[in-house]
Amino acid sequence: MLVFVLFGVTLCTFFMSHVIPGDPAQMMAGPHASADTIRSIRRQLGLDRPLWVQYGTYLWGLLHGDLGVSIRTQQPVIHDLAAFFPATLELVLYAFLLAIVTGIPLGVLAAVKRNTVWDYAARVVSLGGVSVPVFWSGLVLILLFYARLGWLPASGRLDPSLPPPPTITGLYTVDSALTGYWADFFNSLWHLVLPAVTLSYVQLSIIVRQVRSSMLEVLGKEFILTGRANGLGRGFLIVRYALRNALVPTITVIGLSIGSLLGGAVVTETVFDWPGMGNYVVQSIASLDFPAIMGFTVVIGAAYVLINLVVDLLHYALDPQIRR
Amino acid sequence: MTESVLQVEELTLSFRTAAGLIRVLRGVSFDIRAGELVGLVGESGSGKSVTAQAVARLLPEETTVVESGRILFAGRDVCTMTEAEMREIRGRRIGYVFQEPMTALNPAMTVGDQLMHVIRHHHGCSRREARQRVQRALEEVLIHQPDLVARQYPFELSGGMRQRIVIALAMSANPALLIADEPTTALDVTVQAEILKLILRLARQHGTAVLFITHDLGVVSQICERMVVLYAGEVVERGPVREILRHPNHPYTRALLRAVPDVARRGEPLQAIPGELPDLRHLPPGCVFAPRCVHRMERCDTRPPLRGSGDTAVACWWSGQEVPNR
Repeated sequence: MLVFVLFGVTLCTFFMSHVIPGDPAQMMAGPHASADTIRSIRRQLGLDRPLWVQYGTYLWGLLHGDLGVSIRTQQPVIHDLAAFFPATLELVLYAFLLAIVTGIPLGVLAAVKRNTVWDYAARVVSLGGVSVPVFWSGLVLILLFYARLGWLPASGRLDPSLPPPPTITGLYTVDSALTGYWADFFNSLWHLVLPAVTLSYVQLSIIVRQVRSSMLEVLGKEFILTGRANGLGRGFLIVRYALRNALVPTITVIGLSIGSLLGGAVVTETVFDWPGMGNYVVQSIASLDFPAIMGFTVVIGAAYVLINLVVDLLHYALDPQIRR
Repeated sequence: MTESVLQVEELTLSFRTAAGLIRVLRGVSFDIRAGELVGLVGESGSGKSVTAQAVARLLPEETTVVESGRILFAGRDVCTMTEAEMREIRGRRIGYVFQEPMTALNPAMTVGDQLMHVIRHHHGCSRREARQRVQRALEEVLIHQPDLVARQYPFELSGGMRQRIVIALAMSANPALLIADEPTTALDVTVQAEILKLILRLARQHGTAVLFITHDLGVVSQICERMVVLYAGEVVERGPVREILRHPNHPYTRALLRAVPDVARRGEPLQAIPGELPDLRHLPPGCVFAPRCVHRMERCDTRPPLRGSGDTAVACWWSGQEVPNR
C-alpha cells in the first residue's frame, strides 16, 4: 500500500515539477552567470540527462533512504526535513487535538440541542471554518490578539531570549516538560495558541458538521428509545449509546480531513513564521528546489498512508461488525 | 375486583406539526388490572403505539400535547410527573418491548453489556452480582447458552433471539406492567408462537400485567383476557376477549373479525374493510367509522358515546338493538 502510494506520489510530483517553467541551475547561478557556468551546474545536478533517467535515479535513491541534496541549502534533504519536521508535528498535533476536543462536544451539543441557539451557534462556527481561508483567519487572529490586544505572540516557536530545551523528541512542549524547562514549556505553549487555533479551525468545522449529522441520525434510532424505555439516563444514552455509534462514520471523516490539516499547515507556518516543513517547502518552491519539494511530498504522502492505517485500526476497534 | 395497575382516563392527545395540531387520540379510556393481559387492537395508524408510548411518556415532549385526560399508573398521573420521577418508573415499573428487534438493541455493545447496564441501573448492584443477574435474565427468556450469547453483538443474533433479549431487558426489574408493542409482528410465524408463549409465561410467573398491542386478533384470542378496539384514535369497543370474539357489537370489530384468515373457513373469500382510515385532520362529525360502515344510519352523524355495563362497552348507536345481519 505504502509503496504504491509513494510511487504514484513521486511520479506525479516529479514530472509536474520538471514540466513547469524555470531552471534551478539558472536560479543557483544567479542572473548574471555565463551559459557555461549554468551548463556545468546542470551537469552537476544531473539535469542534462533524460527525465526518466533522472526519475529512475531518484527512485533508486529513495529506496536507500536518500532523498537527494537540496539545491538551496546544499544539505541532504532528509537532514533538512528532520530538522523542520518536529515543529510541524507539534503544530499539527496541537491543532488536531484542539479540533477533536472542541469539535466533538460542539457537534454533540448541536445535535442534542437541535434547533436552539446552541445549534445555530455551532452552525455559524462551522460554516466559517469551511468558507474562510486559513491565511485570512490567521491574519485576523494576529491583528486582534497580537497587534491590537497584545495578548499572544504571533511568530516563532519560542521567545528569542529563551534557550530552546534539550532535544529529545523535538517537540518543545514535550521536551521542556520532560527536562523541567518550565519557562520554555509555558512560552512554547503560548506561541502555539494562535497558529494551532488557526490551523484547527477548518478541521474543527468539518468535525462539528459530521458529529452533528451522525448524532442526529443515531439519536433517531429505535435502540435509543429502548434505552429510554429501560430507564437509562439521558447523558448515558447520549455518550455510550449515541456518540459511540456516531463515532464510526466520524472517524473516517476526521482521517480524511487530516489532509486539510497538513495542507493548512503550509499556509499557517508561513503566516506565523513557524519554522516547520511547510515554511521550508514554500521557500523551496520559490527557488525551484526539486529535491526538497519531492522530499516534502514523500513525507506527506507517507503520513497520509499512515493516518489511513490508523483510521482502519480505529474502525476495527469501534465497529464490532468489522471485528467479527 | 382487583386494583388497576393502569387507568387511562379520557385521554386526548395531539401532535404539533407544521400543519398545526393534529389530534391523534380522542377520549381514550381503558384500564388494566394487576396481572391481567389486555389487548389493544386496531389498524396501523389507529393510535395503538401512541397510546402505549404516552403511558411510558416516550413521545417527544416538544411536539406532544396532552389536551385532557389522565394516565394513572399505580394511582399517580404519568402526565404530571417530572422527568426524574419518570425515570424511576421507566424500565423499573413499566417494561417496554418494541416491534422491531433488529433495531431495538445498541449495535455497538454486546447484549450482555446492555443487560448489565440496565440491571445495574435498576438494582444498583456490584458488577459481580450484575453478571449473575444477566445470566439469570438470559436463562429466564430461555436462552440456552447465556455465557456465549452475553458476549455476542446484536447483529450476530437472529430476530427471535434479539426479541428475547429485548424482553429480558424489559423484564429485568420485574415491572408491574409490561407494554408489548407488536412484539411478534416482525418475526417468523414459528418464532412468533415461541415469543408469545414466553411473554405469557413470564407474565403469569411474575404476576406482571401486560398491555399487548397488535393488529392480529388471532394473537389476542390466544393470550389476552380483555381487549380494547381502537379506531382513528377512539375506543370503539372494549370488553372480555371471549365475549367480543363470540359476539362483537361494533361493526368495525365485526369487520375486523371477518378480515382474519381462518383455517376453518377455508375457501370462503376474506372480506377486506372497504375504504380507509379517515384523515385525522378532517374527521367525520359523528361516528368515526360511519364512512366505512355498512350499517350507517342518519343518527350516525352525531357522535355515539361509549356505553356499556361492567367491563363491556361499545360506541355505536346500534348497540343493544338488533343489527340487520349483513
